[in-house]
Amino acid sequence: VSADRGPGGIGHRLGAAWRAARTGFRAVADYHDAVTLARWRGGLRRAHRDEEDRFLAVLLLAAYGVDDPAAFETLELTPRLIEDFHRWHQREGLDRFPDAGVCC
Amino acid sequence: VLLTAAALRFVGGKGGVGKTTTATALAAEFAATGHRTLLVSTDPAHSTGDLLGVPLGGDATEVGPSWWAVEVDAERAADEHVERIREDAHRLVSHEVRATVDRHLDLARRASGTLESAVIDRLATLLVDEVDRYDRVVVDTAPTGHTLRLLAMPELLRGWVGGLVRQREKARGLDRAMRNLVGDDAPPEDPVLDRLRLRAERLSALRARLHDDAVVHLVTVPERLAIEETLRAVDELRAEKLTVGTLVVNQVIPDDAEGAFSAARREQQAIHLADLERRLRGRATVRVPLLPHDVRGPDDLTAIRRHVRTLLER
Repeated sequence: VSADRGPGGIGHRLGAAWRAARTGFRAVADYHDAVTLARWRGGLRRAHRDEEDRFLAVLLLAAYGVDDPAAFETLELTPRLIEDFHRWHQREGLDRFPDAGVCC
Repeated sequence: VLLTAAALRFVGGKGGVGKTTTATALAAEFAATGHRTLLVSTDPAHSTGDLLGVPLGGDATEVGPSWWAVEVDAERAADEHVERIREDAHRLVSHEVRATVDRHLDLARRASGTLESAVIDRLATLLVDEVDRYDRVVVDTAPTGHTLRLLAMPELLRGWVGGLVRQREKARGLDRAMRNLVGDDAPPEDPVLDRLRLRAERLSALRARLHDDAVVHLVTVPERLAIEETLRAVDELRAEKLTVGTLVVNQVIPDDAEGAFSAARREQQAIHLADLERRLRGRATVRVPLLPHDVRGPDDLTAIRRHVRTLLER
């Protein structure tokens, strides 16, 4: 469908959203990758956490103002991920997440 | 009767060209030839029930011998989806974040795109989960733009959810490596990944049905705007690698219609019909005459059925 594939179309936004979500966390991940070499296990733990954070970031795109075309498909994951998200934003130094619809 | 190629038909076209009449007549023909047939309306402005003179709803209603019909209720489907998740949430989350989850679900229910997604989810139920119930399914869609989106979305969603599955697997892989370091070999459970995989598989199956079993019939009328939209839709469907079946040209003024007005319209239509045939480059079409009265109820449908019978072939 050309309207979906062109600039501003759903396909285009899908791609842009993926890239945005990934880039946002790449800097953090790169830093952690360096640590991984020095302290393997600690690094592994952090790498794991980063991958989980990226996963959360993509799932909660709406909170960043990015359309999530698959929101309906992934909504059922919310009950199992909200506690992870809660821990994430507190770890990042945010007592409260700015988007009241997503977390506290 | 086994499912064969072309067991699934989508009927699309500009508003008011006769999609519902065509879809209903085609479903009647399938049922009459002994196929267990389901007629599905996905247009939020349902008129299938009005046409058949039978009240229809979100669940399949028997409307004739080996013939069922359903008007997809997107609002109800969305409500049920969200409420199922809410029950799940109240069982799983701590008291601390329960209000948060409730707020999140309320927002999601009202989000733009939710109703469209609910229709796709309902289609997945009818075409994938309940695939064995019917031999033939005819889907009467909302006007052109919606039809194309409905047919293209499963493919896009499949890619998106597939990406999430891979991201989650990557995280799980690291988790497993970490556990192995401390000598924990138990395979870690991950309900999130399990559910995502199920979603991805279901979307893949829906996409496969749309690409492998479905034929799209466009309905048009011999008027310039309708023809331009139809030809664009043919190109777009082909670009999505969907099968375009016989086109229905509806409301053609019959040769025996008398009077100067009819003659003038007929002359005008002949120009558009020639233009359409030329630009379709040999693609099959079938002409359905304009009737002197509305199509209402099973008897009126007989006149139309005679013409759409050729669509059974595809």
